[in-house]
Amino acid sequence: MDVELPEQEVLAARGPGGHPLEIWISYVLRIGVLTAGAVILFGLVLYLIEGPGSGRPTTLDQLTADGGQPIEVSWQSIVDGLKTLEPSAIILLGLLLLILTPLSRVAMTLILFILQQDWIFVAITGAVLGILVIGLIGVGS
Amino acid sequence: MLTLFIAGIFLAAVGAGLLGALVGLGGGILIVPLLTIGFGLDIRLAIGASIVSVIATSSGAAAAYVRDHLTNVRVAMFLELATSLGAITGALVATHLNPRVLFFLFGFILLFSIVPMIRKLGEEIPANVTNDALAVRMKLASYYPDRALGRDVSYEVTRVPLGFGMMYIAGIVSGLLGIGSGALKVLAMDTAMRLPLKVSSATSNFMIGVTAAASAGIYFWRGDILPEIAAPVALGVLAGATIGARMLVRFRNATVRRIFIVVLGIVSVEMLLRGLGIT
Repeated sequence: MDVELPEQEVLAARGPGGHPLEIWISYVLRIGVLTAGAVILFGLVLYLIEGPGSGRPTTLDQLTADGGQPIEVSWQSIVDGLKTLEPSAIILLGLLLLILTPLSRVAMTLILFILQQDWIFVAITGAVLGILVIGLIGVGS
Repeated sequence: MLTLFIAGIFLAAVGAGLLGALVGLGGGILIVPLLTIGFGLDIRLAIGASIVSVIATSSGAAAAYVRDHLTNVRVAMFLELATSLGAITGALVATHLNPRVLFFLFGFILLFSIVPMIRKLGEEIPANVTNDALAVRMKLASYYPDRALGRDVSYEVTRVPLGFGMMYIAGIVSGLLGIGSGALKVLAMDTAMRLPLKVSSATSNFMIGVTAAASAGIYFWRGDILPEIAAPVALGVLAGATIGARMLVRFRNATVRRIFIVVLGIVSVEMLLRGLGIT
């Protein structure tokens, strides 16, 4: 049966556990930023204590020569660096987690729209998620 | 020296995040000038570091606004189609542009973002707005609790296609220059779609994270996000923005705004001059 809800009720539509949609989105964002921030901080502290690690400039002149050079980065290099607790690899992992935070927020929103059976917004949110995933893995690597 | 350099970037980023939070513009817009003019870094690496810091501050602030029900999640989701596509376009175009063009465009956008700070755009609560066909179809109309008025204010949404087009451009600017382009987003929602100012600001902030994430992946795999620069920038801006949000209640907004306008003015001229190759 198709029931038209008044505007107010549509917006206050509840997610799982009786929480309003907004609270869930808010949690995802907060947890994402805090986790990413903690990982980046850990990596940076390690960098300052142990030094740059292999493959990174050890002096300021090297780092800033010609305004600085782009780095070689791949999944493989990050995974390898993490195995040996390379500070730069830990920082890169934290930065990736930060980039993934808005993605998780969109994924969360998608689930909530599916639960509400709001198919127009399931399609819109799914498309945004697709664009973000392509941006993250498709275009760059 | 390397440690001092990183500490310097961190402190500068705290300042940018603090100032940004006090005027509600986000610190991102100050990061690129800081890293290029202040620390002598390549503008592409500065943009890479800036874009991840934009995600950090936007997500932090968005978490609070969403809770307060100021954000229109439906409007945001729909318009994010435009901003994320635009951001990818911008990031892909950026590699093919001469750094001087990037400096010039940055200076120009900076100048542009000062305008709404001098003259407040639109009305606080727009009158006589009727939903257009798309707004009805997607149920974009909503309400928000207005603390000053002490009641819920309902609003309708109009000229959705125009707003969508403007959002694509805002996305391009964000992906190209590594900023949130909040000023452009607010402009699209405020002047085109006639949303209340508070809703426009909160929804813009909510969208900035997704927009920035769309292009950040491209900068990341391209190697333009250096760990020793992006880490102090992201942590610094985040710390500054958090402190700034707490201080907000105690500061006189007008004074901070005036200082910020002057700073932005000087910085934008500096960036324009670099773009023209004069300095």
